[in-house]
Amino acid sequence: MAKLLENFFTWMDGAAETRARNIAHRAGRRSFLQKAGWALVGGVVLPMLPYDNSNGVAYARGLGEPDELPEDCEYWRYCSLHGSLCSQCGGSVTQCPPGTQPSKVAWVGTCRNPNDDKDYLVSYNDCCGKGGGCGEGCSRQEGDRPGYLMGLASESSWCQANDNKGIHCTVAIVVGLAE
Amino acid sequence: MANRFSLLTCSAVLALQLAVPNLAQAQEETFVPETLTAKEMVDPGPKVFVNVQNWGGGPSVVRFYSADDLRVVGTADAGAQSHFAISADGKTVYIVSGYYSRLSSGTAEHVLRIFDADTASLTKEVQLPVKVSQYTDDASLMQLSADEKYLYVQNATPATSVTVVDLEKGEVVQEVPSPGCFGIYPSVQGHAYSTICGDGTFTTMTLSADGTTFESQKSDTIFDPEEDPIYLSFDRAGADLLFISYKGVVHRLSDAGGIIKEVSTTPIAEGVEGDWGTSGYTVVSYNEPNGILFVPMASGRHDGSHYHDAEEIWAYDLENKKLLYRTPVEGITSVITTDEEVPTLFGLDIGGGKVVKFEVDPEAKFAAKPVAENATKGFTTTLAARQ
Repeated sequence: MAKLLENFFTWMDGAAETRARNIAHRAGRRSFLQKAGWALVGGVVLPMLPYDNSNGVAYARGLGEPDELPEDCEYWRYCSLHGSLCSQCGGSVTQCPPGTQPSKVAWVGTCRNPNDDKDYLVSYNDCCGKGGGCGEGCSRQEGDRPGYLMGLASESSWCQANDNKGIHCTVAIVVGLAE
Repeated sequence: MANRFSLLTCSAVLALQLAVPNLAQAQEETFVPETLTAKEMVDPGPKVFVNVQNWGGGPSVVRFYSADDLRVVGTADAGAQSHFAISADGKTVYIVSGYYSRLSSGTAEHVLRIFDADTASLTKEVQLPVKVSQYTDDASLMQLSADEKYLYVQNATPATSVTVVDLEKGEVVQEVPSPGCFGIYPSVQGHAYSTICGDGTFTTMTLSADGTTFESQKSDTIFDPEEDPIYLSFDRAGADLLFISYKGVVHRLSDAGGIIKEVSTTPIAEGVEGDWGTSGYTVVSYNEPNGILFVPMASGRHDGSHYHDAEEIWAYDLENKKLLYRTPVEGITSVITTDEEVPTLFGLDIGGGKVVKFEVDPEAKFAAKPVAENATKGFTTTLAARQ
């Protein structure tokens, strides 16, 4: 029974990751929520946006961005951020600082890019495994929802799925168009 | 005159010199060296318990304050990202937290620690599955069953489930999967709890007699999680459950039938100019004798402002649907009330790092006045008061 349950929870994490990736990449926030709700009725765990191995670099450079990305909290892609900025800790907007590990899971926000007036899905990944938080605090939390919509919950630690739980700072990865 | 003074002075000095050996001797005879002890008992009296949640690997603490003047009278300690519960009689403190062998890394343990509140001493530990939610604390993340036989602990890996601890046996008896749902709202009788789900429904889990299995029932849609989500924060009004949304809509629900049903909805900010909305973490607290709901509120509500500092504490007559009083405050993000005829409020100020006591005047429409405060020295979103 214990093994069965363990397998079930492992499956839930995996299924959620796959499903969330698919939903988040093709839907806006409204649609994302509706489909997440549908998924729940179907008995699938709530989504969380998975870590994107591309680190969003391809998207970031196609967003009309300046060469040097801003570090202040008002920067557009930080619209749902709740944490501290890795760009001030030896990392960048899209890179965790050296010696840390990107979180395996993340929450997602939908932010409007003023450069093209389009909404983008932004994955907020914590950088894990190093103590002593770093960087300026930034809490905008637009679109934040409590843990019953875990994929939108900025109040959670997103190092929760990593072996090393310490939270160092947070990055913002543009992973897709919201509409 | 000068000579007379000199003579007197000399006499006084001589007398003092003669007296000194006697004084020293007397002191030697009566001096008792101080001894080091640990005070055995926490000072008696009503208390406020505040969870100071550490996100840097620990330690988190539950601080005991005297409800009288908010002086610190004791502490229970734990690891990282603590959640807590206090027994109804205030005698037992339950804390769940994470222990990581290198604080930010290393082997992980999630542990329930149980303290005797009268002595602030650890009495028992229970190892839990390493799944406890690492989440800004809310009272709904860890709850006791009505008879305090079971402790329910919210998990998130991020797949969500609830660990059920049998407190009599001191062991975990089951893990209840609750995909897409979060928060624990125990029934007032028996062994059941409800949880909020991401599609705007609630699911109620009813445990078997031995606590090892469960049955679930899903409610109709209660709220719109996109347009006006509800907070995790809750309180009881009689047998009903109270929740509040970001926009200040109170949802009164019944769980009496083993399934959540809507009783009423009350938009407390309707008709009040200034885009007022709920603001904070512990945002629902109901004074039973007077039927008054206390809510931290802020103007200029916008997307993302729901955890900002409150500007006012509203006293709202829930039965007569009437906003009675708006007490201006600064920095308050959590509020609880006692269930006395003349209520007392306790609030938390995260930014200022303090706990604040307010006296409330029922004759003045439940206006609140700050009368005491003390430092919390940490990140605080939850608190509990016990007589």
